[in-house]
Amino acid sequence: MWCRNLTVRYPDQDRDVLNDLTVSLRQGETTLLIGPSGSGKTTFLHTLAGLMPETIEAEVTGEWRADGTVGMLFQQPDDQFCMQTVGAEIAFSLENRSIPRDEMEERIRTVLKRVGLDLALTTQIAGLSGGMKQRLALACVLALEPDILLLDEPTAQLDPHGRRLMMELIEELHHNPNVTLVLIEHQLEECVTFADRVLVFREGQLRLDGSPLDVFEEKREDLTRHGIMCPLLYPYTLETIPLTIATARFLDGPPVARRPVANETTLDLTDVTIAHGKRMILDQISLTASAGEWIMLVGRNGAGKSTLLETLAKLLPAQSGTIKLFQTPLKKWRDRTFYRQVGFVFQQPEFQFLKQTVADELAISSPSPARSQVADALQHYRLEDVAAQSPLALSLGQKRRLSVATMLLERKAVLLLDEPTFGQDAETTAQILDVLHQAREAGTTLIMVTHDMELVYRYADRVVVIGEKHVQFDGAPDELFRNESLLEHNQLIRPVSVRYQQLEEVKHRAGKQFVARTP
Amino acid sequence: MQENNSLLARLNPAVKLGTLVYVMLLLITTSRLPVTVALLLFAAVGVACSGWKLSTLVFRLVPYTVLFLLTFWMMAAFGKGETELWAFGWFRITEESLAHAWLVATRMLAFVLLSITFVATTDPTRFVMSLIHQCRLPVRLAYGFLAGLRFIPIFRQAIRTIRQARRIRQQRSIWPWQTFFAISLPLFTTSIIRSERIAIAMEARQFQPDRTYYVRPVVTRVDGLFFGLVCSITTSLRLFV
Repeated sequence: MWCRNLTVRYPDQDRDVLNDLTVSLRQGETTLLIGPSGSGKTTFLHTLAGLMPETIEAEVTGEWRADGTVGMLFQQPDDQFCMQTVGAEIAFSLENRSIPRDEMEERIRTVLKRVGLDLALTTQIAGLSGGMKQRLALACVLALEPDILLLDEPTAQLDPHGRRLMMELIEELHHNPNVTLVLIEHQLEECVTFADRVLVFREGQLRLDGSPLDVFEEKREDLTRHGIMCPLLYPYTLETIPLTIATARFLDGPPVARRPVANETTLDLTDVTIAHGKRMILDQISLTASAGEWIMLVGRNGAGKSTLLETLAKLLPAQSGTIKLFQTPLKKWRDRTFYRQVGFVFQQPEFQFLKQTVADELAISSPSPARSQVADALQHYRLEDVAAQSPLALSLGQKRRLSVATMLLERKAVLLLDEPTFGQDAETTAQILDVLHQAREAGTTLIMVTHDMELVYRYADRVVVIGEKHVQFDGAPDELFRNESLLEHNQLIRPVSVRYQQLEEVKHRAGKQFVARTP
Repeated sequence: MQENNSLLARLNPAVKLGTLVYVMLLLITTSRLPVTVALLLFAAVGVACSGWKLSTLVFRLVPYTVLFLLTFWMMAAFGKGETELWAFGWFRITEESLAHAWLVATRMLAFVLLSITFVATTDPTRFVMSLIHQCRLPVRLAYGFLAGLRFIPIFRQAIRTIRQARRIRQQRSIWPWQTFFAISLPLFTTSIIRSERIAIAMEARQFQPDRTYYVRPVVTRVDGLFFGLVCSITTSLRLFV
């Protein structure tokens, strides 16, 4: 598979997405593509997949060829299907290859088994979790029996558990000598260990090309300077990382310093039961939150974390029990006053926007907004340049920043957040956390659903594990990370920092330093 | 739409549709009440065989019953006619308008029952496949339609979120169409982006009209029998009642 002098430009754009690219990939090789967003990685994959210029409109010059069948897996788990059921969806791939009908059933079962999905063929796709959908999408691609497999950030929209399973599958594919893998991925830690080659893209050009060791060890500073993410540990592992390098100091760092939590109760739940129709979601749970406390809700997919948030936001009624905000039951609060005290940041920001421009969106977020207040917010959240644009036309990171900004324009007593950092790049994540940290210091209670355990370690005052309709754990993050069986049971993974620190402690107790092996 | 194990569900969807459309045509072409009532009863038998539980059926039929009463009242109270039976204010019920109201309302209900029979017993995928094979629907159109069906639950979720957001941010609109635009605009923009992504994903899986089929509905003798039986029963109802 190769391309020579490949140049791609999308209509209505004044610069090339790919500029005079020449590269060839060998059979059976696993290639990792990295680079900042907008550097042309995805366009490169689309071209190799044969989608340009027929399916995706673009001006393409140069030559390119892929020897063999190409399959491509995309980022969004939900946007790759066209049928209702698992069986029909995989069959769609087989139909396209004109496989006879009698062979289909068996082939479908084989690929399903290969991706570790044990489902009936008539299972509705809509009911699957994100991780399962993505594995199904992989099964559909594998049903094409591709010689070349292109993967465009396959784990970006998955929770840690789904991500780990997906990565295992990809590594397994890598060991198949007949399959050429080309992978765009931001979870560098896992895939750098098996990638044969790394290509670094920047501004539509190939900047670096070499083995992971060449790229990430020798050119590390170069990459970091250009804002390209590097794997945290590589070329070391947790066990062998020397104490002196910056990464080790980061991992050893304590949680973010903050003021102690005030002793003033905001939200108070007693024996709250929540049900959807006849199905019980949460059974008699009790919780108390204080002003200036950052509580993180964690647990498996479908454990009822989001449902709990919706109930706290007075969007869903509780079947029994009482929820009080400032000693007054939710039922007695009037909407108008309640929602001045309580904010909610939705998981999908695009459905939260109600106005035509970013500035208007901010202006309706406070009953009597001062002009300067909106201007300040625009500047603070780096949205000045897009103030007159529609919120729907923003990038993913900008949308997320705006959704947080609208909720924090006025000081709230309680802010509820449903996975605000999900699928965001490192920069936006850092910025959102900074803003939330400020809100916490100002006395807002933050209740946040998350899957990111590193965040739990760094920022949470309290972590609440929800599983099997109950609160399984409610306490300090440290305590949770020491409870092996609880973590295992709720599909939670200890963050790297904690793993590192625990290892260090063991070494310390053993009384001698391990010798760091050079790779 | 859903599929179950009733006899009607096992029929070829295209044949079933054709048969029901024929009955509907008969309904349109008659203006005699006894015929309409007879066909309505026939449609009710169809619904009874659809395999839905009685409770579900009653639940689904409530809105149509309301519609039935409304249509009846409108036609009866505002229709034209000579022989006055009862009058109050603007309302004037005459013998002719009452007869007309019965006709239109029962016809409407018969249509509803026939449609429900179809919807209750037909799996959408099988229906579209049957349209490809029996009615020569172009493949690209058919698969596009199937992909579009997946948007329904996604839309439902999105609308729910938008309503919640409007409540939290205390945005109320004065006119109903403002609510409509506020909800449909983000839905519209996101679905354009999504449908483009789905189209790309389908192309990447080598979607082409030249293909084999996993679900391939065929016309069997049972289908023929069903078609013949229903057509002859309803035609004789039309002619002899």
